[in-house]
Amino acid sequence: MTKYPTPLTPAVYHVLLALAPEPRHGYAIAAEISQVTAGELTMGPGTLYGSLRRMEGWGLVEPSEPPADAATGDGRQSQRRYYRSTPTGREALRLEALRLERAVTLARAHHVLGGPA
Amino acid sequence: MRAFARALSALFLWAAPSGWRREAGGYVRAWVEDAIRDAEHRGGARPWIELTTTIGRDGMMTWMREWRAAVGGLGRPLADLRMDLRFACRSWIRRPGFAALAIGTLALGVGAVTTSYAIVAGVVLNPLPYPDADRLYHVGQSSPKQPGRVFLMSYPDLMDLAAAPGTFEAITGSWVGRFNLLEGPIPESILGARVTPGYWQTVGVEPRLGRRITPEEYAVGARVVVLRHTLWANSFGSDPNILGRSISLNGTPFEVVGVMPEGFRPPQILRQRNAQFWSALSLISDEQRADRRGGSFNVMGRLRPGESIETARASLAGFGARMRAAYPEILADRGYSANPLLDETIGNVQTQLVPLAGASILLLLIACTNVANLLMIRATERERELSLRVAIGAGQGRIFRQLLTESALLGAAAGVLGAGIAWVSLELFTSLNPGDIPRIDEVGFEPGGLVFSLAAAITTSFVFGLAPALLSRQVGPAERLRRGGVGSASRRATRIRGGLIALESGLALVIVMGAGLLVNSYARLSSIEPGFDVEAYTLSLGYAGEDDPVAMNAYHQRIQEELEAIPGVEHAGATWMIPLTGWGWQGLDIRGVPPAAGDRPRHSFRYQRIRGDYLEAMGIPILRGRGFDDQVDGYGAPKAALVNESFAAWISRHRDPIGAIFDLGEKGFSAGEFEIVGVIGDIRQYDLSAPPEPEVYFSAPQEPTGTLTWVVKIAPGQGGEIGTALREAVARVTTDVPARNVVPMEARVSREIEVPRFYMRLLTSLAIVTLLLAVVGVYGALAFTFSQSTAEVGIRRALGATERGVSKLLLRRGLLPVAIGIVLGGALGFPATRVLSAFLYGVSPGDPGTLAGAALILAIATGVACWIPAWRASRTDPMAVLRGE
Repeated sequence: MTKYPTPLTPAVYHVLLALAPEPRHGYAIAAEISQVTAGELTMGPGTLYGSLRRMEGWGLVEPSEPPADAATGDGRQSQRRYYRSTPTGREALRLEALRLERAVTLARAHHVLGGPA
Repeated sequence: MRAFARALSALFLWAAPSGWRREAGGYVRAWVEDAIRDAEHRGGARPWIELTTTIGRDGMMTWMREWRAAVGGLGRPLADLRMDLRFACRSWIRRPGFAALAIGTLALGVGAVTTSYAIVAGVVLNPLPYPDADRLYHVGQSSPKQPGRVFLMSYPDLMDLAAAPGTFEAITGSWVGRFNLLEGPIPESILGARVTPGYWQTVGVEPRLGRRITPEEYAVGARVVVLRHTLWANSFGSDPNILGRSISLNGTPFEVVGVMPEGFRPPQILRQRNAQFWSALSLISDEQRADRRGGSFNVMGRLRPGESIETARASLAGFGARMRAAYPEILADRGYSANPLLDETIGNVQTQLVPLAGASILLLLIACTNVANLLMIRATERERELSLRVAIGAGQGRIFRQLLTESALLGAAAGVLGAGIAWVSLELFTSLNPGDIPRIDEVGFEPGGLVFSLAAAITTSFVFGLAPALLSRQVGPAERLRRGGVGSASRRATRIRGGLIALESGLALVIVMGAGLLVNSYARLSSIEPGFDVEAYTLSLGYAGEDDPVAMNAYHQRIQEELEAIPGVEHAGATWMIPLTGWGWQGLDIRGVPPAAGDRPRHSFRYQRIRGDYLEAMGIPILRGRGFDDQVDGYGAPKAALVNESFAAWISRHRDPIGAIFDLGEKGFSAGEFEIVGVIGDIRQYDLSAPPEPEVYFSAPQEPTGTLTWVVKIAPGQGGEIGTALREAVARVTTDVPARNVVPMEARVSREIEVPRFYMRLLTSLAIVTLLLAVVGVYGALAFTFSQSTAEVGIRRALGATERGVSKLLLRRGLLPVAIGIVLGGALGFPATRVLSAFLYGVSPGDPGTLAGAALILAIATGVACWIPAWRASRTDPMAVLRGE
């Protein structure tokens, strides 16, 4: 298993963020990302699948059983593949968020974002 | 949309490397299904647009990434594609004439359909340019005599409705008039609207600068005004400090409180198309505000969200019942109703657009037929090449892809060129618009039409471009190579070609017939004798003085003197209504003529008021008696009248016109008795295409009126700077009102025939293009067919057939499909020309002469196209052929 590249790309970061609370399937991840970024980052099926496959290779995410409440009687349900983040994934997300926080703190100290000194 | 999203993702999956497809296919399909469910849940068009763009972009990126991963670098698929493209370019370049013909033909069809689609979409299909425009309705009085129509409303009715609007969120009424804006030395005449304060909420557009007119200002009749952006930009130099400034309208100061945003298009249904400002409708006269009988105001309403046309009409019916109960004697048979604003705005414009759209679709069909024909010819030519390639090991799939690439290249080139043609012709169309197409300023390039016509073009080139591969599959390559591409297998191709020729000639005939009818109609329309001199110069002039006959006459007398003093002016006179603008109706009670039957005993006639040398300036002859003399027939003198020839013809059944005495009854505009003193020539006063009707002329000095249109006859060769001279002459008398419409009578007449001329030109140019395409198509197909028959011709000649006999035989073969096409086209075109009936003057849509003429033109053109190749083929030297065999 190769080490994931740092800093995380926005796509990887947002996938991990979307998987932080609960396991999700493909479209639910894309919809969540599109919503939290107000449409700035949209991921189509192919791109998302590629990202998930690579992240699986780095050990950031793993396939998961669907959550209990998601099991509705839908014929296509079986084709949905659910993913959840691994401990490595959660740690990678935490480190990335810390890095971003430091970057923002630094920017504030240089009054890049305006506001009181 | 759902099917489109599925198809799009399926297409990308199919194009992806097979390994990836197996691995990720289920995942992608599940993703797309979830996304579709979500888009359906969210509703509206936006989620679908987002979804399809996401799938499209994602598919492209994935496709490239996965192929690169699968084959290392861009690898085989791209290399193959590049090779196919290069080969396709080379094969087209090898036959430049052929390529140019195919691309040009398709581009014409694509361009025509794209243009007419953009026009239809902009005028009919697109919503009006207001937020939630589907909630806007034209509201007004209705009448049981004309169900479905909505009329004007009176001011008290409007106020009652606005106070209790029922299902409507907002209601506005409007009146549009001409105002003199004094900004600079010479006054400018502009159109302005007076509206109720609900206007801005109804249209859903707020002023860009400043604010609306408030209900409080409305109630007290405050002189405040909101400017249109164009007026603000043109007359006030986009002054940013315009708010609060005072401007002079008809000599009264108004305070500017707002400026509407750029590009705001006032509703045409309120007659506001060219309105330059909005002020309070409460500024109209007290009489108008109190008059519940009259109907003078256009009303528009915005429905509350969730209401429908049915609930709106029901609520208006309730309003009507309350109103009838409150004012039973005034509103006895009146009701109230509403129609969607879009329907009312575009009216029956479909009758104008159907022939245009129909002709361009026919043009596209003919273009596709033509290209199909060309591609079939090429297919036969290439049989040998393709057989050779199969023989040396090319797979069937490889050949398919090669031909597909060639077709796609053809379609793409035609698409680019066609889009260019559409762009240019749209510009031309909108700038040439004769002014009677509503919403023409909203027409813009629409990708939808391009997609449709491009799809047709590419499908044609795919289907017929693949024909070679299909034909070559029937016979093994070895057999085909041995035959050398000439022989019995091309029999089937010949039959398809014959069908295409028939189709093409038939379709072309429909358009040529339509154009023939329009040309015929236009020729009749433009040869009408209007009865007056079209070289006279005209100008319209208002009056701003007091409402007193003596003052008005003095004013008009001074204008007349100034005009007559201009060097080169031979005659100057004036009329109340210049021909082709309007008329008045008046009932006459004529001594010695029995009253009319029915409940209206007075005979009604159209009438005019004229002064000065109007008859001489317009070249209208005095046939009997005398004309008017402004001194003899002045104010207070015994009243005189003139009648036209048609009137004289009508009255002579009862008595001689000269000396006849009549009065106008108690409701007439003037009391006392009139004597007919002269008979003058008929003119086309109202409409060039309508025959003259009986008319009465009154002396304007005797019956003074404020606004007159002046007519000036200029000596030959003196007309150069007459427009300026006329304005200057007017400015010496008054600067309160501007001279408007300073144009020769000819311009007014040609405006009248502008619309028919426009459609005639449009359809005739389409017909010429079509005819050319058909001729080229027939020529090309037959030239090829006959060149395939050289062996047969050679043998026939060698066995003793004459050159003449052979060319006759070939001609018969070529003309047979053309004849079938003409018969079919005639059968199809006969009913199809009926869509033109709204445009025709003096010709019926089924006019046999015109239709036969069109068929003859087509027969001659295609006949020549048949004869040339037949003649060339018949001159084949038999010895050369036999040696070759």
